[in-house]
Amino acid sequence: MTNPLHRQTLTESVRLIAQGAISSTELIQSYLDQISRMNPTLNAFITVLGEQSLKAAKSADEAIQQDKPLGSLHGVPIAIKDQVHTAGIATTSASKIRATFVPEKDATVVERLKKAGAIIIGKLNMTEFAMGDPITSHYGITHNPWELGRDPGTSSTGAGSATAAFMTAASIGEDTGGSIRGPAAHCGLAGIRPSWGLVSRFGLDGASWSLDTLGPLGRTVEDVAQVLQVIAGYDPLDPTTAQNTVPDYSSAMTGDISEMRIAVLHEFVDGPRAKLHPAVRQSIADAIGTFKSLGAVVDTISIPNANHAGTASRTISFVERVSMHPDWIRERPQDFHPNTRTAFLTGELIPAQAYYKAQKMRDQIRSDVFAVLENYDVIIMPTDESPAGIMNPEPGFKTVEAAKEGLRKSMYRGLFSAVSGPAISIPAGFAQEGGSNLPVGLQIASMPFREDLVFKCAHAFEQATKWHQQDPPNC
Amino acid sequence: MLTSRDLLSLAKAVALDIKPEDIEDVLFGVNGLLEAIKELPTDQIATIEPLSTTDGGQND
Repeated sequence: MTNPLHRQTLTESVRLIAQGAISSTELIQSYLDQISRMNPTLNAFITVLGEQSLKAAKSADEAIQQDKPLGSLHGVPIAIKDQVHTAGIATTSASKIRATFVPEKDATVVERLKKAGAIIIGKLNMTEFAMGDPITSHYGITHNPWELGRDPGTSSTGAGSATAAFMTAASIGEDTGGSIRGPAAHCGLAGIRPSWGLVSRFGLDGASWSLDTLGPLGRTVEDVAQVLQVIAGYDPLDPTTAQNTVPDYSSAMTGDISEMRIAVLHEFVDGPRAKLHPAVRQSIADAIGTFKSLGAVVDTISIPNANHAGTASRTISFVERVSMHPDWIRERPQDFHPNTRTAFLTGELIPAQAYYKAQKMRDQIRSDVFAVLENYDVIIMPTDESPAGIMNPEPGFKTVEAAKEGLRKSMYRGLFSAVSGPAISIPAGFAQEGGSNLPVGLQIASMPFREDLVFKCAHAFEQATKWHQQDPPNC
Repeated sequence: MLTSRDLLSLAKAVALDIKPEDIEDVLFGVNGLLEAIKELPTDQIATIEPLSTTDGGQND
């Protein structure tokens, strides 16, 4: 039986469209059919742009017939997290408060995607204002396609669910403390948090000015690299973007990592604060074996301050998030989900000295990580300590210890949020839980603006292991 | 550790109205965070100098 078009990788679809082997209209229709089939169950989209995307696909097909120059994402669908502005289309941040907000201009990432020929197929569900609680969206809970009662990973819940369930070729998420990497790990995808300053945040309804990054999730490392190539680079509309030349990521993905030096972070594997699920522990051991078999040098290193990465990154994001939405918590507290409201209230009451100490801790952590990366190309670590958990309809903090436990668990992804360097999560195995097969993620991270090294290492691992070829049930 | 009364005084200082049903969660959140901050290595963070946020890689 022929593979349905929506099950192709993004890269494969781009190639087939450019060759004229398939039309963009056929491809978009296939994805829209899949959305009709899966979205009622998964609730990954807040807005589906059916008519608009078919119209854009028709234009894409006409460009092919007229031999016009094609962009590198010509005719393929990409879905956008609903905190990223789309001109004329509601951008809600999954909140009641922003339910009627319709931007006049596209965010720079959306503009660049369109310019490269991508077709925006819809706006994705998320947690309210990108907080880390999976149940807070005003538009209902998004489900994990690997098991519906499991957390799809926060806060880009829809990005993880929709991309894994073949409802879009790739998606754009936003990562403050792990919001791209978490959904990638829990949904069995590749997803990269780019270096802070690589991708424009113009048109992002942000969560934390010093931590937020926009980046892609996809079903392969190559797909993710191809999307990042399009959205990366200096933007005069965002003064925080760096004026670095963006390298050609595809040329880095040779499959040869025999010259690479890989560091395994002891604190997140065998350290006293790491509490790894056996399947996650096994995935790290297997990954080390894979990298060694590919000829890389693999050593275990120690960064003791990595243990404090959750505290540093969460303190900063709690405070900054509130400062970016200064009045709603006073003027419309009843319009927040209760769990978002209490998180915002907490952020309002953190003393300035605590925030300052967290910022200094962040700098110490960055300094420690940079010292390790003088001798290694990348650092590897688990993306999370367990596979997707069962969603609790009333989580909240019931004790001080529970609040501290939340900070501890944030360390795995908080580390490279604090460092501001690139970190990708890729599938690295599966955990058997209650009759379900749940993906686990491996994180590969490097120095700021060394996405090329991250992609090189991740791509070689992906080709050697093929974990990414397993699909969620019933999709 | 802050008490509920301390928390409400803090909230009043920044013109925040915390509903009774939210007090416990916020109190646990703030106290948990303040305890975690106390556990940071103060000797190290007292001396660290700021690093450029976008530097550290291949700038050109």
